[in-house]
Amino acid sequence: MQEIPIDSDYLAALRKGAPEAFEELYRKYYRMVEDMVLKYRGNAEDARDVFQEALFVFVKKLREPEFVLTSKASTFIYAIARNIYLKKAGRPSPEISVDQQQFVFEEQTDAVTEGLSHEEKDSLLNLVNEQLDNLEADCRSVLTYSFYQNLSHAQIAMLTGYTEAFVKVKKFRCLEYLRKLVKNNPKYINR
Amino acid sequence: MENNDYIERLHKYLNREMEGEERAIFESELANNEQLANDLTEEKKLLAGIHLAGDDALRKAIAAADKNLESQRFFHQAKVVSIDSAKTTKSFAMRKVMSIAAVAVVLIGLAYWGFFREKATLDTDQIFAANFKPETTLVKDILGGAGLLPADSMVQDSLKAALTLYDAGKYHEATIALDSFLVHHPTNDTAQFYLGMGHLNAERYARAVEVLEPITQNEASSFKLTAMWYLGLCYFKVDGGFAKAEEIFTALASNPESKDRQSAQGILQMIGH
Repeated sequence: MQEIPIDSDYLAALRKGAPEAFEELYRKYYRMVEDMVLKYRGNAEDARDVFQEALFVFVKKLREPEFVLTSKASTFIYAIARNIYLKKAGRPSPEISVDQQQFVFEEQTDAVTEGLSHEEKDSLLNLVNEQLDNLEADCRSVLTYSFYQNLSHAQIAMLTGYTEAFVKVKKFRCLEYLRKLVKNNPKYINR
Repeated sequence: MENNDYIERLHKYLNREMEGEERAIFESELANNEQLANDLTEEKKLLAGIHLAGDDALRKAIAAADKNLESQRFFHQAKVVSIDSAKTTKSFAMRKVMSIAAVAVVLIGLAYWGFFREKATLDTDQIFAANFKPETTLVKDILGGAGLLPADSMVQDSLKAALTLYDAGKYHEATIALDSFLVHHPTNDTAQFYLGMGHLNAERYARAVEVLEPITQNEASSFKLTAMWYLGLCYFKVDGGFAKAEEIFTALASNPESKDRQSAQGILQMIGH
């Protein structure tokens, strides 16, 4: 299988959410996951669900600034997908060797969302999503790069073409603007 | 909260990047400073909202890629539905219940299965190997202008390009090209047939079954009988397909119009029909 070279260009495309970067992952790795799911007696619909979930974990992991992919992308995606499928199907996972431990991901939790109930998460998601839509696209991008993808100012500067100094100014300006929009929303006050 | 250093400090704590003494000092302040505690709560909500929105956007981007590929028939091409798994329920929970029932069935049939499994597997693989040859004659005729191509020259060129890949033994590339062709010409049975053949040559038997099966039901298709022959062979290679293979070769063996009639009769003899 020809692997996707996970170089800086490809990472940049993933970080920007470029559709072709995601489709490339499907084209290269979907069949491998589908074959695995079918081998475990799942069906094609299961395979699509599992692949979407595995990509979510993979891309989120890959976008972490400190993360270094030490195996092939196919190995990584396969292992994640297998764990997800076996867990969903209620089947015992095969014994995992030490070098496979890196692929075991419990449900992804971020420090800032820990402890929130599903209702609180839904409410916050709706509120912030609504207000993010009121921001300019460049503001949304900088906030996402800074506070969701946790990229450094230098990394954001490379993605946006701004200077590092401007990124720092802009991220706080955009955050302040978002904070005001959120706090002034009646849904926030009523929470 | 307009002081960036103040906000950065809150973020550092919320992102668990504060350790040891620094963390202890912060938590001590937090216990005694109501404003700080309130600001921290607000900031946590804001950052949590941004994270949730980021996760949401990522899921939507993946779902959009999935949807776009579906519109390109990517999953139709990729879908490997084994004969048995197609019958399984969509629900994981239900499948679990069914698996318990399946265990009972397996136990009952274990003695028989234990005796005959190895022989049956060996035989069908051997029969397949002895009878399968990639279809190369007809495709050369088609490419040489023997008909079965669309009248429109642009459409014809597009199909010819895909069939040339097949003829060159580039089966994977051929299936991709044929799949794209079928997006715009879904009823073209020449493309359908060679898509099935491409999958078969690429050893994607379940996919080949899925594509060839409708051609064998198409009375108007000139590929019907040839597709039946290859479909029968495919069934030897998929789980639970033996009975279907036997049924197809029985039909071919009694069909005087099939050029594979004698071969089908030979296969029936080999399987002790």
